[in-house]
Amino acid sequence: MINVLNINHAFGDNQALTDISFDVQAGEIFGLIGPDGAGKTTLFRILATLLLPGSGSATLNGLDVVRDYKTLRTRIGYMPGRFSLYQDLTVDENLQFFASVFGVTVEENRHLINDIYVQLEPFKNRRAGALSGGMKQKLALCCALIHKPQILMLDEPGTGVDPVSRREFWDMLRRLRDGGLTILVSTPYMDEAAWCNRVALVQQGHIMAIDTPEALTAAFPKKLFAVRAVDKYRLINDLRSMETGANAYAFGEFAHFASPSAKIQVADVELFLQKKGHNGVEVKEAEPTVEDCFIDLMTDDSQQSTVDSPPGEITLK
Amino acid sequence: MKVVFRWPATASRLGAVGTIPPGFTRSYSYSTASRLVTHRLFSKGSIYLYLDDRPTDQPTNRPTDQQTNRLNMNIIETHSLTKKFGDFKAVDAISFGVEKGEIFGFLGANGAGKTTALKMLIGLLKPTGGSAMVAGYDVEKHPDQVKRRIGYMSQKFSLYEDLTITENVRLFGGIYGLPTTEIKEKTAKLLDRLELAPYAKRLVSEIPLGWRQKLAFSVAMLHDPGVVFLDEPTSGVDPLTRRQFWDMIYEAAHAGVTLMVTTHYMDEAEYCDRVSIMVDGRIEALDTPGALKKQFGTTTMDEVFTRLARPDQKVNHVD
Repeated sequence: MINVLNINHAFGDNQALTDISFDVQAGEIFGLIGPDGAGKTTLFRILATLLLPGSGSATLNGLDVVRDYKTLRTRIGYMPGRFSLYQDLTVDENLQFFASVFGVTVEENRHLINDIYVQLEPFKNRRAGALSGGMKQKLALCCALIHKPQILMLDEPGTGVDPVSRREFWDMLRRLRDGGLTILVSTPYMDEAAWCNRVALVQQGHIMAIDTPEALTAAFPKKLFAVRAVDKYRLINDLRSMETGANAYAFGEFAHFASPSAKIQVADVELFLQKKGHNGVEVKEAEPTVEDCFIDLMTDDSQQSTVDSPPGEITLK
Repeated sequence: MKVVFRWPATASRLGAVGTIPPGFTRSYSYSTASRLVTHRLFSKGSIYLYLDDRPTDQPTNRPTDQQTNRLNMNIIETHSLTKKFGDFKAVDAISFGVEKGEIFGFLGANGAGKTTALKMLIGLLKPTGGSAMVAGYDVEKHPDQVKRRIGYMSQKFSLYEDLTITENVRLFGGIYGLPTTEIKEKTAKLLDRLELAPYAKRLVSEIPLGWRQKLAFSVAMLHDPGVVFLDEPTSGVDPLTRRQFWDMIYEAAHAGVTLMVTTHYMDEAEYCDRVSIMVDGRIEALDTPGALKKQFGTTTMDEVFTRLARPDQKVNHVD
């Protein structure tokens, strides 16, 4: 449904995208997962025909983003990261405006947005600018769907949204996907990867990995432990020193300890920490998450790109 | 890890810089972020003495004054703080206190009233009811005194992108009224600490978001505020930098700075000493992450949050 081949793009000296290639199948949710500044928005703008790629090519449903941009625009729904509806038009006026731009009527396509629109209906005469964050997002989604696109592109719909509203938004996306829509979505929230069919992990304009979230976590190359102790911050530093190539970082109420050696056991970690004088030590094996994979890939890549990687770690003494 | 210091009621003042009195052992010391002020407490049995070696030539408009260093007192304290917009109660009589050196998580769903409450605490918005003291001053009566004594950093705006790193530090130093020599000193220290010296002449727009956020945090602390408000400081930041940012938060708290943090990352709620969760303008829960999880019978803060934000519906987890 979407084919991206060797896309490169630079803004002046700043290489925003390097050799980006991936395919999205019809009817899947494909996630571009990475922090702000990874190049996600640049890629979205190229795919939405708003920016010409420096080099490389992309087709959406067989239509080329450069050559066929006019036709393509009628086939895609694009929800940019920034709220970009008309703030001084009401909810219904916005919908009607976007429908008319694409030569359709709200009535003929009402069924596409009904699920979401019912939640907006109480506010249909309110100006878009006066809506709460969650409602703005729902309106933007309706406006992106009203012309019956085949592909929906959402650039960071979850940014600034609380975790519960975020989950509800993803429920909506899954229902749209189940209705046959192909969805490309970007997010800096690693936990959202689990709700995609496949994801690309993006960092500094490179794709570090592409796979299903399950395959990504299954391929995590280290043995992972969840560790707890009273002095959390000394714990992390001590764990880092346990063996070369090991990584340790805070992970909610635990610290995650990723060990390169497959032989290491819970008891080994416990013993090491007891020798270091830690109290309240609890160690268990942990299932890696996409966030663990991302951190692992980032640490691996840190030698390659000196300019973009953080200049030094700041650790609590 | 909380550094809370209760001044013993029996402590008496030792006076200016001196040596440790014979027989006494040092029982506590702390210093502010800039190491300008150090208090030391010595004890022998139940007798406590404290040594007050604050520099005497402290300029009066500086925030490292007695107000912010007064001990045994909440540095943020609200009583029935309320903000009404017409008939709508955006913040509905919230009362809470935050101790010196505490990392206080300020959570809530979108529209719950967090931003309105924060704006009142930093002196940008007048309350319509109740009161709030921040860094020793009433936010309604003395908003300017409050502003001078706090730091603020938000994810949405933090630094001027078309200025270089050094220019930003200099600008904010000037806004906070620091003397030129001190700005110079502090700039050098800050760049050194963040290992940004080689990039000092780069435009802020040219540096990665993660660095920018760390720099913004340091700039918000340039004038040694007693309290720093961080509004979604790690939003959109990569997972490694997000953790390094929290290292900085811990370091500041360890040095006695109070931090009030909003976040949508529930793992970060776990890193706070205490967490409050706002629902429809009220604080519905406030405790340590451990106690909150116990109270709601859950294993994660995410579940606690969900229970509170959507009390009347069972949210289906999508996984």
